[in-house]
Amino acid sequence: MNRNLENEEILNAEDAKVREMCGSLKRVNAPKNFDMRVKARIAAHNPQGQRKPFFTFLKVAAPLGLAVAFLGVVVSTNFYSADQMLNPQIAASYNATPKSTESLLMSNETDMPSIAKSNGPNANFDSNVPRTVNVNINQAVATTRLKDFGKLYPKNDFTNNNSGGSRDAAFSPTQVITAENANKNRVEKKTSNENSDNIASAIGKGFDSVGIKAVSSGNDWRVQSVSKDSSAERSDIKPNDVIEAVDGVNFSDMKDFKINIGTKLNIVRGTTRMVITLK
Amino acid sequence: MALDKFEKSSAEVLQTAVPSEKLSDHQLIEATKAGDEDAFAEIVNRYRNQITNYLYRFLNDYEEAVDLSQETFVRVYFALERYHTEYAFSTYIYRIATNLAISELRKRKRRKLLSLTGLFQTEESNDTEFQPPDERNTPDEDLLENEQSRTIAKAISTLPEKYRAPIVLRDVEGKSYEEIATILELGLGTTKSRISRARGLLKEKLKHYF
Repeated sequence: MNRNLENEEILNAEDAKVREMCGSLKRVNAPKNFDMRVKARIAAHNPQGQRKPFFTFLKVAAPLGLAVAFLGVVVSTNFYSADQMLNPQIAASYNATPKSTESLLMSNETDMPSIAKSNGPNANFDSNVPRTVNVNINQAVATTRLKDFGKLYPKNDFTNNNSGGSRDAAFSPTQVITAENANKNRVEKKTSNENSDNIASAIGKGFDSVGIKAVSSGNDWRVQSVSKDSSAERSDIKPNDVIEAVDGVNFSDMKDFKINIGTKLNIVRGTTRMVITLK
Repeated sequence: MALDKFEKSSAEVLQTAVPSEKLSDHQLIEATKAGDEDAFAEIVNRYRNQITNYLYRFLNDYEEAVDLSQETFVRVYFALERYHTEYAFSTYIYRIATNLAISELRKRKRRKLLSLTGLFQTEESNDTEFQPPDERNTPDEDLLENEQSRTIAKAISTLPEKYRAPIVLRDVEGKSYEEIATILELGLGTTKSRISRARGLLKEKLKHYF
């Protein structure tokens, strides 16, 4: 036993007690057959820690395999869409971006050969190949997968799944999109936009005629400046007044616009509302 | 006199000249290198109890301690060619034993992480963990320790491994700071501070004895 506890350091009482307690532990001895077992191990020459090569290989290969599989999934998810993965032919044909159905419908009344032509020489529309086409009608963007594009016809109901119509939830199931109502929607929208542009222009000119420079701010007009010796100046209209209505009619409800001496303007000045008659 | 009489190996000379018990560690190693199995048996005989006791206090598991102790001698045997005599043999063998014990502790940690039962084990439940019967020889009567000794041994075995080795070497094995620093390949200052810290931790764990 090679304990030499008494030959060194000066310890405080508690450290000395810890040391004494540790030193008081009974010593254990090796078993009687220890030498024999050591000799047997040496003879077998199989020190602990040596692993069979197969397990060593697995230790490296298993995590590596998992990492490669994970990478594969990430790459395939990010770089290939489901369609491309299913049919490589589609991947080639995707060089050409399909036009929206609306533009197709309006361009040539959905004449199929012209659709194929409109997508350029690289377009490869196979009637048996499912395709995805973006449809943009009345601000509703929907993705319609057309299974049988060759059967597309203006009066077809694209939502009919039996004929390979829309499968995506973005498309309202009750909304039937045909070439007819697409055109109708387009014309109505255009007319409405043109009308509002015309009225705005008429209002601007009308205000000009009575000496008011004003700009539209949504549903009302804000006065920027008032001309000298004009009807507006005489009527005490001031810059930053907000004109809400003319002769009691709001701008949003206005079909046409007329302004003259005697016209009543509903004005907000700061926090005060007033009605001013043009003089 | 026949010439072959002078061609005895150094080991044979040593064997015939002095009994192996009286040879130094380095002489025994040289003899072992020269093929003297008895010289190695003497090395085993000299250190087996020290190393077994050290590993037992380190791991608090007798069977594991014996197993690793045997493994230590096997490693020593196969690495004798690489042993340099500028270091004390005792330092060398303790270093091998320490490294094996630390590896074993890390293996245990991994096993505990992987084991499903580990998920439901508390620190207390480790005390009553089922130990399957072992066909190997049972430890000596010396192992039957009283309650205090078991508590101390348990407290040592719960110390972090970086504090456990220095405190066992110092306060159980009675090694000098210099020896411990060489065995653990640490600086003298680090060794001292770790021993001091280990004592502090033990004080906390054994506070009801103070």
